[in-house]
Amino acid sequence: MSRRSAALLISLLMFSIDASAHGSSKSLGSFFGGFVHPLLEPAHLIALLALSLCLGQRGLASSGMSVPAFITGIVPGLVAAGFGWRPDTDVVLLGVATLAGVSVASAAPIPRSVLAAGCAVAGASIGLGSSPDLVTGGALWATLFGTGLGAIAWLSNGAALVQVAKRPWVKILVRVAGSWATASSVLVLALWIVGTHPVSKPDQVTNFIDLRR
Amino acid sequence: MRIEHKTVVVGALALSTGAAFAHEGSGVAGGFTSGFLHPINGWDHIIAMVAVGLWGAFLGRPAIWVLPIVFPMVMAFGGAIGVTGFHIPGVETGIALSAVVLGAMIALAVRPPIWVAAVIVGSFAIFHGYAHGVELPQAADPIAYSLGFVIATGLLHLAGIAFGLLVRWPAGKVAVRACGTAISAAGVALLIGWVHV
Repeated sequence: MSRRSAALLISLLMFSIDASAHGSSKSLGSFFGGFVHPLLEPAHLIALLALSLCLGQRGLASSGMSVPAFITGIVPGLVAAGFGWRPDTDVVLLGVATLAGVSVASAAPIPRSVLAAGCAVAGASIGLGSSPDLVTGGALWATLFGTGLGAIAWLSNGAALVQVAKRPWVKILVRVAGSWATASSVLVLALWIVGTHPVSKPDQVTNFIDLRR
Repeated sequence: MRIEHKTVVVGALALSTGAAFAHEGSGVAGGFTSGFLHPINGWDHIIAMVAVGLWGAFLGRPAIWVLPIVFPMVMAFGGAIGVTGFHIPGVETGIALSAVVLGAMIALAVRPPIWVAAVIVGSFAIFHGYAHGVELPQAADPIAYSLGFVIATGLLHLAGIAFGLLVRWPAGKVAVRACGTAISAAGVALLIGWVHV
């Protein structure tokens, strides 16, 4: 190939755009969309991160029924969301993240029962807060199913990754990450308490927790 | 110029174009970006955060990890004060003073007990947190914003710690103390108004 041809070919290649090889499939798209949804909602992400760090730091075996409690919470949460109940759960998730983050940062384990309760509450909150807008029918349930599997996978795998990290500097990084989760959550909770954050409006606050009263 | 050279130049120019941002940042991405950039857009924040990591590394264990853990949490407390609207006077002075004091601690190789170091760092964390917190209500997505600036702050600490690890070598100790002197001098310049951020 001559140098002129090679230069022309390279320049043409530079102008190429993405090749989308797969067409969209509503069910597949909905499922995977739901699978990554917990990572795209900041409150869900912080809560999952803090709980993963907490469970991993403590050890999954010593965390007792925490992961099963999370599953027990998220399943009915997703079902309720599928049938139209969609309360604002961000504040609850930030509260759980704060508690878990403090435990991680201070390396002071929370009692098993409290941890399990926190996981159940977080699971239910993630489930209730995951219903996509303007999606109905099979796509809705595919999304919710993906969300459930995704949240459980992110939580358990994240905890397992933290647990297998044995090096001292990694353990310190875990505690630093816990302090970050705590700091972020505390700030937004302060905003909510003051009443300037639109996340939680009075008529949407979950009945069993109403810090304004 | 020969045709293939022209083609390559045109091709390279085409590659060097950046994305056209037709819309200002909004939503989660916009909130995270503005939060992340907030500490980085101010030299006063940068030098003070690097100084925290630097001093922690200089003091060694356990300060090297205690300070980066304590700082974000106390900073959140300061941020919460900022969110409530309660006015703390002299915030910018406090931020500049943090650079002066922390830089001086490093330059003079001061090694107080860990609790004293934590109290000093924590006191200044309130000012830094307050400065970030007052911006929080206006953020496109407050959760993403707070995550952004907490992560940026932590990464600045990490940069300070990484540089501070040079203390294991004699020349490194000199470099770290020189860096502390520079930070302190920059803080003085900010305090007296020679430099504005």
